[in-house]
Amino acid sequence: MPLISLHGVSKSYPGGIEALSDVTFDVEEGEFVFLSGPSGAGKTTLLRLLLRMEVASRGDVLAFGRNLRALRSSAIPYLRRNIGVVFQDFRLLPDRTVAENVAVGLHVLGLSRRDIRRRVANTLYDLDIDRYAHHYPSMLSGGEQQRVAIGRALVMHPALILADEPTGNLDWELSNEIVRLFEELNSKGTTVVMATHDRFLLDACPRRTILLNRGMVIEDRPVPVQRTHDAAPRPVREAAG
Amino acid sequence: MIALRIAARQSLHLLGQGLKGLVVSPGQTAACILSLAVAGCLVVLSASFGSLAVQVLDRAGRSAKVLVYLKDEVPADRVKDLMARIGARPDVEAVQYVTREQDRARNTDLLPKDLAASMPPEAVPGQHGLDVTFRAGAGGTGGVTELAAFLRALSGVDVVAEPPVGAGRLRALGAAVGFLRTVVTMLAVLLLVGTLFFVVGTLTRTMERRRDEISILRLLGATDTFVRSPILVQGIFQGVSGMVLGALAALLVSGAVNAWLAAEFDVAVRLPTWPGLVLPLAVAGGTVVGVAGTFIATARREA
Repeated sequence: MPLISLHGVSKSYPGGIEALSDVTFDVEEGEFVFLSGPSGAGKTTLLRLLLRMEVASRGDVLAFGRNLRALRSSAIPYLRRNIGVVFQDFRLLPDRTVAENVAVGLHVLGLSRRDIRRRVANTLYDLDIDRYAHHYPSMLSGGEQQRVAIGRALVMHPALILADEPTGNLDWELSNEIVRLFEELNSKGTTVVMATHDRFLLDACPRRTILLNRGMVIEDRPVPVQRTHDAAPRPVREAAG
Repeated sequence: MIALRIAARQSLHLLGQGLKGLVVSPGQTAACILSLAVAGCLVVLSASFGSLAVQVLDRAGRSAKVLVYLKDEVPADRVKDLMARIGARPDVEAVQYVTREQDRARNTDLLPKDLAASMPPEAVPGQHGLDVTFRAGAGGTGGVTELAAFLRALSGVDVVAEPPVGAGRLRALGAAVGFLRTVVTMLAVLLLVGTLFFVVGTLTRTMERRRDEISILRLLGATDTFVRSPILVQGIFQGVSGMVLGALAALLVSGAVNAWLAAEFDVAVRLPTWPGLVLPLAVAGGTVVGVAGTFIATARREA
């Protein structure tokens, strides 16, 4: 069974604006999929549907085998605990340290202080930002801030990561680095759906790409047989402690 | 067991978050607690002073006299019979016969001296009757009214008057006190409603400050309860601390007033304080204000 399944999904807003029109595709567990297309193509709307921040006007959105339209509002938080979200603008809390930002979701799970400390330390170490644990976001570069945002998602051990233009605010080198990080996570079994309009990034990291335009899927390009970029992924170190 | 532990950890975390919310806008929080304290204090004092006024009126009513004018033709044996019937009532202390001359003398005393001197004695009206004295502790203004109705229904009774502090005056005073109590209570309730919106404002401000955190928490799988609980903790803390402070202030004021009454007037009446009732009611009222404030704040702005 696919992890994500969309069948004839449309989303319209008042005023006749149609953000998505008859979108159909599946994402299997463990896949890495780019959602691409120009601004306004419907990439963000699609991610919002998967997070159940919105409901499709027509069609079915299934995630983890559950029809999100039929999902009771009280069940939405439990769906989201399986999904890590990363945004273009990082959305870090400026008055919290890096460690506190990463830990923010763990209180939701009711973990002990010790478990929270351990998970946060491991995540920061894995992302190579452990030296910034007590820094505030404003003291970090864009790439480092995005790593913190990814850490906040990863620390929850999600089965699926939804990234909405996570490299949009970063230069080419940092963008590459972030995508490599997602590839590493994907290689460990996490399903990744990443929205981007960066054609260079798509060329450099050939993966299955669903191309959207004006709310419609105009191409579903499968994973190329041979990878064209030679960037070696950064090895994830073993967790400390 | 594990679920209980998780719930306990989450509760502690949310309690901490709620208390942190108090210092998001310390000035506004302090003003909110203070205004709640003033409103709570006013509510308690209005109840205390209202109760004191009723006490005083009751005492006045208990020593009231009712004058029953008898028809001229009522014979002496009927008068005795009436005195016996009236005197048998448990709320009557004494019944005294008043002759026409005694009544005329009383009426003459009520006139200006020069006018009384210029009039022939027969010109001042006089009618025989009965002075009925109320028994102390027999029911205040309501009792006087009821006794007057009983007396009016007796055969041979011409008019029932109420000198010198009659039921009519007591009723008027009682109505005035009741009206004042209503006005003060309404003012206190209005103040409470006003402070409720102050609480809502403070909570809304906290939510506004935490907006980014709340949206992130929601995306990370926080439930409604998880998001709203710190706001509820903050609201209840503000409500309870404000109302308890107000109740304590009211008890202090009541104590001071009682001490002043005892020292200056040496009177037996005291401002009631009911500390055993007021403090639990303040906690309950504060909780209600906090819960209502949280409900309104979160309904106004989806948390």
